[in-house]
Amino acid sequence: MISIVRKSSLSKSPDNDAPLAAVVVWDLPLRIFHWLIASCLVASWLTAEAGYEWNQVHLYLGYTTLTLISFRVLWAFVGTPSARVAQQQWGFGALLRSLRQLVQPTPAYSYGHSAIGSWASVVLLSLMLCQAMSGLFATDDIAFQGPYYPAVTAATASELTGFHHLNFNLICAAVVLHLSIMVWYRLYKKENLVSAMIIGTKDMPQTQRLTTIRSAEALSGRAGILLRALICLAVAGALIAVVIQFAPEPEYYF
Amino acid sequence: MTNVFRCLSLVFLLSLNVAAVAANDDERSTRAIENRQGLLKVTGHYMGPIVGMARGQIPFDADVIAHHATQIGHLTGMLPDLFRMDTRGSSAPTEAKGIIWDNLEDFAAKAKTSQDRAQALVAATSEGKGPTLKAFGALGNSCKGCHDKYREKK
Ligand code: HEC
Repeated sequence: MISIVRKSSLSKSPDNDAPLAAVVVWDLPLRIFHWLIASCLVASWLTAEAGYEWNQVHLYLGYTTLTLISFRVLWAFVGTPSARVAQQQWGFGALLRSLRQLVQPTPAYSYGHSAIGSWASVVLLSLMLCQAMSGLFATDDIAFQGPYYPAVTAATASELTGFHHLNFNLICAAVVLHLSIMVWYRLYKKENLVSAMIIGTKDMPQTQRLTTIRSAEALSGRAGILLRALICLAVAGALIAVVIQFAPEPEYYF
Repeated sequence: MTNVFRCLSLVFLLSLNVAAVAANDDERSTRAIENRQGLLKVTGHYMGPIVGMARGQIPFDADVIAHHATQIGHLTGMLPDLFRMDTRGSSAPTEAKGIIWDNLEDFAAKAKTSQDRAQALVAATSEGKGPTLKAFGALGNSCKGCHDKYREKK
């Protein structure tokens, strides 16, 4: 299985003299996840501004976000190597190294995330998770109430609503930073990360370690990957469905 | 000596007076803030069950909606009265933005929009569920219209 790709084999710096060839760096489920959650974020923003008619859609977008993030967490354990927590570098040393790489005017050729990229995606997803979770308790004092609004006191709901608004600004800042880094890579480092997230492949120097990774991916097969992704999605969806199902009944008196 | 003493006590009495007036002012602002917030809380109270019906959490009842919308119409009609007092500078917690008192006319117009839409909602209840919920959406958006401009985002 995929775990034959050892962490150490991923951490060596690439041999930049090797000939370039397209390598699959992001599996299809991960790419679909990426663009879905990006769309969800934009749509959530628009529906939050658009008025009453869009309240319900905003709510469902929140549920979708929660499902997608749960999927991503599962995928971090059973996805292909570049999606896995265990295959990424998280240490301080790796962070410094990737920071140094970031300011070089040369492509990083990283298979999956750089160490900064790993942390950045954790931060970005955590922000979105906090956003969706606080939304469960939020109210606009007019006609919107998250499903868990009745579970807390009015004061707490008000606090969480405030957090929901504040955190959105943090998300915006994180997204702007994310997009700036993409531009930085494209213009300064001459590496196109966006197309890699669309088509899945990146032109990389052919080295021994990438051959290992590729054969590892071939071992699992496309259908196998998709089947695993579907199972993860089903588990994530079921989890969120249960969470929503257990929401307390709101009490109305009149 | 006695003159100095007289002057001092006069100054002292005057300052007491100023403080008393200030305290009085602050108390009045506080009461004004509490009253208008109370009004809006009651407005929110009358919205509640309609929200529940719109979301399908409680059975749709046109009569209840008509009654509630009538009251919301009365309540939003009171907004300009209860916001007349300029409470900028008050220490009481409020989410009202100071620009309200630079735009009192526009503020009253927004309150009137809410009032009109509440009355339109009353009328819509005789036309069935679809038009009723649509009219409720319009009412909700009129609340949002004022909040977006004149209420501090939490
Ligand atoms: C003309 C402007 C205006 C309109 C229209 C308006 N609001 Fe408000 N609302 C405010 C302002 C300003 C505040 C903040 C008041 C404060 O904190 O002193 C507020 C606060 C509130 C609060 C919080 C009260 C509290 O302190 O707990 C609720 C609930 C509320 N509005 C509901 C509504 C609903 C429901 C409608 C529509 C039917 C509505 N409002 C229409 C201006 C408006």
